[in-house]
Amino acid sequence: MKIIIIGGERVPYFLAKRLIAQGYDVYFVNKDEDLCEEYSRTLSANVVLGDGTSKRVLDQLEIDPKDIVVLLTERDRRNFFIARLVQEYYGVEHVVTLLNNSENRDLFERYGIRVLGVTDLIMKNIEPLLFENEVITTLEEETKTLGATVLKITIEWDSHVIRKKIKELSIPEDIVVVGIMRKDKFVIPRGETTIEPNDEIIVVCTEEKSSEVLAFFST
Amino acid sequence: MKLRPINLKFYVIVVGCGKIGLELAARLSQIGFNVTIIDKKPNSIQLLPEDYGGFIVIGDATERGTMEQAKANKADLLIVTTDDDSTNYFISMVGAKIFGIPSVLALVNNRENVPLFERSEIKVISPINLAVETFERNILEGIDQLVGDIK
Repeated sequence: MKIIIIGGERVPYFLAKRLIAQGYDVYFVNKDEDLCEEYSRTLSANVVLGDGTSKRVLDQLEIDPKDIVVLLTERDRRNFFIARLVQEYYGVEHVVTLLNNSENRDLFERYGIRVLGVTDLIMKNIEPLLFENEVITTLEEETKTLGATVLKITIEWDSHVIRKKIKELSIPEDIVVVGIMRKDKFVIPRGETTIEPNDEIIVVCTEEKSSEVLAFFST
Repeated sequence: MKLRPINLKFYVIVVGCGKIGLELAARLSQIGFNVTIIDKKPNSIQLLPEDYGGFIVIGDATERGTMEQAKANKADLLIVTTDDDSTNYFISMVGAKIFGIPSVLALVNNRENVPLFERSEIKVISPINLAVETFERNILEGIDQLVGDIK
């Protein structure tokens, strides 16, 4: 069984390095001449210079159905095309591909191609940060002029609100809980939502109520 | 060539406003089909004849939003004519499998890709194959005539 990596730049290099260390047979296909030269100089891998969407190039690899094909080009359509080529012509069972545009996931999955949704992954990681920034920074400035405040409060273990549903809390008037940051998730609170220790709750209230808010949630 | 106008409520999407797509979209709309042409370059669209009666969508047809804008789910026929085979294959497959377009025709620029398209149930137009076949037919007809003359 060999592992064939098509396209990409740095990822294939480090991927191959680890695979080779574990004793696997690694093949590269890349149309960048300098990259191919570097791969063959620094790694004990087999390098094919050429366009991976060309069957003539792929034929040089003597692909077997048991081989694993990893697709790392920057275009979904190219990855899809190569995936289908190796499936149809060489009967390859395992194809893993980089997915750039998340909306194409369904098409890949339809043909049993495994996808790594990079855009989704990055989005998932920055979303909590975006929320925080938006709520705390931008809104803070905008609301202040209108007499409102946005606060973020960390709920300690000893707070009386812990393990209670929001609707049971009898939160004072002019105070609304608009969001809860819980570990790496952002929870949109409903009456049924239970507050947990270490939750960071985001509260909107009128300015004069801000000290009341702190007292309410932290004791 | 004079085209006989017909009135079919048949909806055709043409992707790619190159030499082939352009001519095709213009003719199909002249015949009386409902036609939408998609191209990502506004410049290419400008080359359409003034009497082109179809719709125009400027956008990348490999993106779902563009296909939705062209109402791909209502299309009876999708014709893909860009100069890149992986693009043509991708758009054809999205059209057939995601939007359920019953009939898909694709231009295949590189002859070696023809089998992949055919195995994926996409009808293929291969300029090289067409040219070779036409030459062959012409030559054979010529020979028939020659043989006939000799007899």
